[in-house]
Amino acid sequence: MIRVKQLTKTFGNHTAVDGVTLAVARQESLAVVGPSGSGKTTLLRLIAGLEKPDRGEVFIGDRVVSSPLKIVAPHKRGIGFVFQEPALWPHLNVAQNILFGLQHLSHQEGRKRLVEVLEHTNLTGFENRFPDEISGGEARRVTIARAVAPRPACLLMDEPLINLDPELKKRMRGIIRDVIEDSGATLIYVTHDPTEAVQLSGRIIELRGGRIVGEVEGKRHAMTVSYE
Amino acid sequence: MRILFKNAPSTWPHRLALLFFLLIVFGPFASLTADTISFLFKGSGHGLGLALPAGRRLSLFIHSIGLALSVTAGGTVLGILAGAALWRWRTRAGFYLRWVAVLLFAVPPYVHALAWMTVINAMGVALRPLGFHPVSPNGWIVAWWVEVMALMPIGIGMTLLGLESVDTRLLEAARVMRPEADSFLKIALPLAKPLILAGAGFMFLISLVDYTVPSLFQVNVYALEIFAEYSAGNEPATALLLAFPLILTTILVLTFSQSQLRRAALKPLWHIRPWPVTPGRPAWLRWTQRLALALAATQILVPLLSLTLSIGTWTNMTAATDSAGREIFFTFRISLLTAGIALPAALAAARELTKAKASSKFWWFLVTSPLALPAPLIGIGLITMWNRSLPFEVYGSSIMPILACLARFTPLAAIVLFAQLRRIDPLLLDAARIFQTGLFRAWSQIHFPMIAPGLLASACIVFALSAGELGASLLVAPPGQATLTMRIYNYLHYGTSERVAGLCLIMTFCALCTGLLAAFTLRGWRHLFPRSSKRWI
Repeated sequence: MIRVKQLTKTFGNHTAVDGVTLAVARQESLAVVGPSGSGKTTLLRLIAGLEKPDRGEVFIGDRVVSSPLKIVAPHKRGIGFVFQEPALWPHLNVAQNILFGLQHLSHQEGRKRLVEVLEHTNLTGFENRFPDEISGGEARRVTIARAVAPRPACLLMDEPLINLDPELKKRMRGIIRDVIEDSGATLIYVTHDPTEAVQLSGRIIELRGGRIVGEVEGKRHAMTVSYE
Repeated sequence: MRILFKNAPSTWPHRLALLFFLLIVFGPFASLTADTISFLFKGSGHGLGLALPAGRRLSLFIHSIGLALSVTAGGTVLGILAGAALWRWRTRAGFYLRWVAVLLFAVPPYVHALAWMTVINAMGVALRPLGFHPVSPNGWIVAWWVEVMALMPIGIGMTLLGLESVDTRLLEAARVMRPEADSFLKIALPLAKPLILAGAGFMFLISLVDYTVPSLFQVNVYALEIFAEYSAGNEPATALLLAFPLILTTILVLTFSQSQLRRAALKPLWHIRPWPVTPGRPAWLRWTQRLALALAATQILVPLLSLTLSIGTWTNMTAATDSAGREIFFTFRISLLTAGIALPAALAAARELTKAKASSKFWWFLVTSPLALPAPLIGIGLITMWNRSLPFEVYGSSIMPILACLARFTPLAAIVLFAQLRRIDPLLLDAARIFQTGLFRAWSQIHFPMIAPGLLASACIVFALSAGELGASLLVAPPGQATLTMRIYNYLHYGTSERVAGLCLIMTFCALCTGLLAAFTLRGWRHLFPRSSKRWI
């Protein structure tokens, strides 16, 4: 589904992603772990088309979507993206935020899908609220709902549970798991929390200094790595 | 909104600077108001009837509003298109072009007027043999076009400021889901709306209170009535009463257009980072933006080319410079002094704006409302204020044009500084307060490096605008002395000549050089103060 071949990205003198090669199968869940500054977010942004690689290629299906010479617009990649910060559009309410990605559906279909994702993310009743009228945890759920609403073939999540309290994190992990299982999307989940990685993914890779330094199976094998 | 100076102690220099701000900005208007009240109590003249325009004046007022609205519409649309194109262009060249485009606002409108007069006359001469009727060099349409050209940089600047203030993550979130044009039209533009609206408000009020451009094209506007009435009767109160509908309109427009500006996420233009992946555009948007950019280029190329051609030879240029040597020096001195004196007062007012208290709303009104005053009224107010026997001579001295420029442009400097102060993390100042060993040290090592880019930008803007100020200076300039602008304006009424073209070209270069100087310094700031300025530029 997603293949990354010798992907390299440099910012000034700092190489954020250094020759990374990986493949994620259809409906597979992959977690990318590593300490801060290890290149996790950059890798995700390269796959999403929000950064241009210096070397290497990104394939979605059989199509090259990113290379130093070619970059397919992010919205043409069939992906959903959940950012570290909720990044909700402040001038749109919850329903409008979610409906933004559903312009390809008719009005009725769009409303139907909206109701579905609101139910999945326990947000029913929040439709008319604006981002500054909801809590941090609710905002994260809206972000997830917004990303899964268009039924993307691939979902990229960049530390979506960062800065949440442990109780809320636990609940949110459940919601993410349900949403992913329901949508059947391929998942690439970036985190530096090994517990999250183990619970949400079937395979885990570890990045350090922009390179893959380890790979283990999730759910069955507990991670032993720890980060400062 | 982040509360920047929530716990900052109000020191005596700060209070003194605030008092100075109120005195220089509101002194003339307060004096004029007092004079008018006394005039009304005396029961002399036609009194309050002047405040309600009727007959010819009502028609003139409606026409003036129509002209201002159409100028605002034209300037805003072109500003949005050209500003959005420049916003997309995040290269080194793009950085300097932004500053040039924005600072072109400082090129006085009469320079555009002269340039377009020359172009229209030349077109007439060229088209007549071909059987085409030449375009009339006078009238509403030409006045509208020249004003749109003169005010378009405000639209560009405010659009840029608005778009730069949109969090990149919000745009990226949209780019993943929808085509680039959608993320621009449905996310970026609505979020930039408060600043674009504020820019439209500024354009409207400048157009409504300006009489210089319309008068050059034989168009009578309501603002000219104030100047004419005062010149004829020498009665300040009549001028204020006559200006009442104008002031009411501008205050209403300012209140509406600036309502969201205070809470908008202002982000100064001197911070640009290249796009990780430059957003694409559909063909229709690309071509419309190119057209707007071409018009923005016309905005500067027409004055430069037509003025250069009008001058003819280098000898004419040096003759023009030599003949206006005194005026150039006088203008430079006034502009420099105004820029220097305005900063402390503007900084104090900007600090008040960043406070979380209810008083900041009141200060926002105090800072924006003076912008609604027509320039001649400020001049008349200054005369009323200082034309009296005092132990020191102010009226009739070269201090008067400085006071006029201070009254007009200090509020603008305060708004620019407010934008800079909003960028500073309050925690850094709290930290400085905890560790500071002295007020001066904290100021010089922490505060100053962080606000310096804003101070420089404000100083450049005040300098450039003061150099082109005409409406108030025309009334208060000391006998025997004139600014370069006044000299050009007087020459313009006698028709164009090599000399006036040369002087206009000097003004244009001054504005361009000020813009580029500001851009170079801001860009070089991080090399001058690498540690202190790393996060802020």
